[in-house]
Amino acid sequence: MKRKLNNMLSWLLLIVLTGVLLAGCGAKDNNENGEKTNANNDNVSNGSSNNDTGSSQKEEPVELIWYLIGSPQEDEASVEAAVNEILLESINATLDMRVLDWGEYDQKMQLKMASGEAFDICFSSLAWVNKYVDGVNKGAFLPLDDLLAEHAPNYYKMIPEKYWEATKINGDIYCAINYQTMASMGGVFMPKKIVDKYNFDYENVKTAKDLEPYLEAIRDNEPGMYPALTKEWITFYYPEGDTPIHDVGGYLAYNTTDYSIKNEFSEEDIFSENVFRFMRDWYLKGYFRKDAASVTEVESDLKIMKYGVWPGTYKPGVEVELSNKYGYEIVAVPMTKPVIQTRSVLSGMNVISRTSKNPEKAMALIEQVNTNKELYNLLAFGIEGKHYQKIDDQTIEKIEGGGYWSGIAWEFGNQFNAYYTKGQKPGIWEETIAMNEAAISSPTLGFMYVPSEEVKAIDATNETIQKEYIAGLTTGTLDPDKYLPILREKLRKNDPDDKLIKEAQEQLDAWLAKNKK
Amino acid sequence: MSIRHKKRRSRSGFFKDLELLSMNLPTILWIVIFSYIPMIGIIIAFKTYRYDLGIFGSEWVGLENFKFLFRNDIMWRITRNTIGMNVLFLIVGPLFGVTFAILLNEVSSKFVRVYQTTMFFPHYLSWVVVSYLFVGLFDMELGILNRIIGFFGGEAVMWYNEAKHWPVILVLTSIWKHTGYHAVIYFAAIMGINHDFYEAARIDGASKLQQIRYITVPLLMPTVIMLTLIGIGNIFRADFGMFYFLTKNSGALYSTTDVIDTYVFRTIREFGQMHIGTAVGLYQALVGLILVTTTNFFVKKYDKNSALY
Repeated sequence: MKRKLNNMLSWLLLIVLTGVLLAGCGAKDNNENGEKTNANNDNVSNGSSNNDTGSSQKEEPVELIWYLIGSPQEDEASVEAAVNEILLESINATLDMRVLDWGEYDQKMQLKMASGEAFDICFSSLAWVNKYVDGVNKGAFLPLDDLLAEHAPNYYKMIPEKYWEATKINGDIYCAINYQTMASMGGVFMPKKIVDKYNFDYENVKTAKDLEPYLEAIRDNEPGMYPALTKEWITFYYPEGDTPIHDVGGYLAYNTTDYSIKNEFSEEDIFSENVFRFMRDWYLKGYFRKDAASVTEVESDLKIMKYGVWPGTYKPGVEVELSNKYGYEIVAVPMTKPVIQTRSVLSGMNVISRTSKNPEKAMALIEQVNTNKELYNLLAFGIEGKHYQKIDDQTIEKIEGGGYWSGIAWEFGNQFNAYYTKGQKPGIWEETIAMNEAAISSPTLGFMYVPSEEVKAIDATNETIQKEYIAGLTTGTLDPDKYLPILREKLRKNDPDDKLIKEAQEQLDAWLAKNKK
Repeated sequence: MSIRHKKRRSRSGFFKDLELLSMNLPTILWIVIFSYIPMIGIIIAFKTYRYDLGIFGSEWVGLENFKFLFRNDIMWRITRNTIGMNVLFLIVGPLFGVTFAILLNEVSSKFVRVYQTTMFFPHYLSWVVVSYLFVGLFDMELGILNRIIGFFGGEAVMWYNEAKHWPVILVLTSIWKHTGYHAVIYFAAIMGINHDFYEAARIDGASKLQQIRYITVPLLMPTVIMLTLIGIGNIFRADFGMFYFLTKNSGALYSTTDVIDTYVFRTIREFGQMHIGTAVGLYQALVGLILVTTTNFFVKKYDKNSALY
């Protein structure tokens, strides 16, 4: 009898324990499922039966989740409430904006996409975070051609056709690009104070060579300063002036005269070799800091005016932007002609996730953000009187401690919708659009290289091989005569059949045959 | 008696011990849920993972994902670095641990606690924190080391650009960080040694050194072997934080500091290819398993009691 009781007790214990365990695991799931079913219901009631945006007042509003990269803002709630007022009216939806921090966005988005989390829109870019081609390759984003035509006609028309060409992968558009500076243009930046001190005639700088007297002056007279900042890759522009070299994922390049793709580090393509020699020359002359190759963080040094000159992307109004950022006056000199390339067009865009329950509504939201100035500025700067105040009709100023100032206006959509912020010269949007229009379109604008899995594996190894030498070579720390042959040899060993180049060339040839000219 | 007991057991064994077994159930469940069910993910290593197709729907590619590892001499290099550095750590770890434990044993008990705490302290610092200490040490311009070198008229060393210094630096760092931890374990083992041995030795006229040589060290050996065995299981798994943060992921140092873990991390982070990461993880696990089993096999031959299983 006693034994039986014992037995029963132990069974009971077992059941309870299992129950507790399972409940512990299950609780969260239940919640999530609950939410999901809700969303599903919304989908059934809204999405399929009634695509028309205006006339669905009676239906349950749809909640749209939008992931962005930036600094989360304190008073996001009141902005969201104001946004939702507009959205409920116009497309019967509400927005749940989720801003992830700069450092974590890329990794978190990879995880969210890999695990199939349901969300609607997220920020993407070609080469920077949440990479566009990778996402499309892995089936994370929806093709948008039909959605754009149906639910965002005004936005679609607003963006010049040639830019849409640049977004296509295998003939389909997968993203809604953000209209901003579309042409890429290299330039150099210098602190005005130093330029004035040495009376340097910066406006007539045409090539990097012209900077040398200035660099020499700093080297000899400014002990606390480094004459020039070295950054990887960007330095490639300068010695040759404005040669439009296009890179095809990583280190393959071609020029637009013969369209043959070459390895940038090979003997056949000595452009980079020239750059390396040039950098070596500057290094030996003492224009760079000695440990430049291992310095990864330069922003804090720029803030205390440690560098005499540094390269970057030029655009109208960039001096003001940088002066505000670093806290001292900066002059900017454009060094190359503006060229519109596939990669410059795709520097920032929004994509719709394959897990979106309401892609139609998501697209309708994109249409709204890009065409409704009020909504756009609300997202970008918050509420007037609370988060910013107007200086004049077009210019606004941040209210300190207001709790909202996204700082990522360009991520939401058409940047030319934005107010000018204090310090910005009114009219630079027009100037930028003019620059976009005047810019040369690269003859291969619209070509996008989509590497296959096999090639990507080769590329992954290349990345490591290059990383060992590239920082040294681009900063002049390593002697190209000695190390470039080693680098070439290693790259050749990794890809003896030139598969990378062959595949890229095939894709380019196919593209040329279809689109040319 | 024992035979009878066994017999009874075998007759109704499972049900008889149900109570005991049921106590195990939570643990078993835990292991199944968190250790075995996730193992299904291993199949990603043999597939090209696409988000929209899911784990099971993605395309099989056989061993394709492993090929990337063996493509060229990078694999050789990261394997050499991983094993080489770990072997060094495995040698210096017990060496310094045992030495300091013996020294601890000799100092008066009043100060043991102080020494222990001081030695243990580095163990608690995260590698990120240590990496900032390192910047203070090794910075080209402002680093303490280069200032000292400069003071004596030497040429500044670009620590983060020269790969040859790093094996030494990393071994020294490992000693600094782990000696306290090891010493405590070995010290505890020494405390467990029967004092009669020492007394007998002293009566026979053995010096301190002789006592250490003939009593302490031999009796510590099982502990050393055990810890080394566990260490060997992880010989293919480098301490990621150490190799990634301390070297500032500087490309110029890869030839001596790039290990499997850092290589995989970079590959996945830069290329977002989960299947390659899984493949390498599986490879690491398999080699680890083989290493532990073989080492255990040899240890068993040498001394049965020291073996893990």
